[in-house]
Amino acid sequence: MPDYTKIKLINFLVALRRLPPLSELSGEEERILFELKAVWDQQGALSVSDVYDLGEGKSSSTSYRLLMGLKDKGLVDISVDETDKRKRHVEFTPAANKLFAALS
Amino acid sequence: MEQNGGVLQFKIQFAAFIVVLYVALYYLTGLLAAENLPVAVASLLFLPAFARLLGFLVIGYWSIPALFIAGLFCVDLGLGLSDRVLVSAFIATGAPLAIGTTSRLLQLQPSLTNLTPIRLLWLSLASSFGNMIFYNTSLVLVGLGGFRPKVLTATFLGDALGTWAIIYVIKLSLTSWGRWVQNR
Repeated sequence: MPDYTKIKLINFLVALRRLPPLSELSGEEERILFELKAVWDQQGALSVSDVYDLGEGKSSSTSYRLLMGLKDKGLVDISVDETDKRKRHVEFTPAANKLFAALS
Repeated sequence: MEQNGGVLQFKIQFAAFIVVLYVALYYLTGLLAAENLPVAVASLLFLPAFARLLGFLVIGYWSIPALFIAGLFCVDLGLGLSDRVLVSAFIATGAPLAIGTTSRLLQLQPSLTNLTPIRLLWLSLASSFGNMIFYNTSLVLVGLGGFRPKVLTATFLGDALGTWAIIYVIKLSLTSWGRWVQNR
């Protein structure tokens, strides 16, 4: 069985930081933001359909709602593909990139 | 093997940190409450209770010896050495057992990835409850008459409020630090 001792300490501090009030992001939003970042790092691009596959045990609609939450909070932009109108791209805003840079 | 050694070293270091944290918070409680803690039976804001929760969540049952040693530095109550050892042993055990049981009931993942605010609340209440039972049992055993409503209430509320006071100090510090890093 893996030992999670150090990860436990980090997750404990993350749990404290997510406590209300003063949390800009909910725990779920923060988690999906970093999952999106991982997909971005892997693929170099993101579409709204990628979001549906994220969020362990979450429905597509929940994942979409979380994405909209990130958009409302100015962390992602969603744009329609110029050639295929059914496709929508997700991009991180400078605020999100600043957050990733601060935490990397 | 080397990795196991590293984990063991971290656990020992963290256990030592828990001892220091517990003792420091104990004396801070005394300063804040302006009361003579070495002889006070219970405080309505017992900050070291946070160390019990943190200790168990990070190093599990390894926190018990750490809390026991910390207790020896803090428990006085006008008792002799053997009684202080007994009380320290009880207060080192109650909270970890209660948190361990509750974390299983709450299906808390070993890595704490699903440690939500609600789960944290339940774990802190369990910690306070477990300590209340064990601490008052030890008071009975050393002849200080525990399980009086006033002492039970003060132990439970003191632990819960103390835990959450420190949790919010850390939360606000992390939030302020995060904003400072973002605005740099």
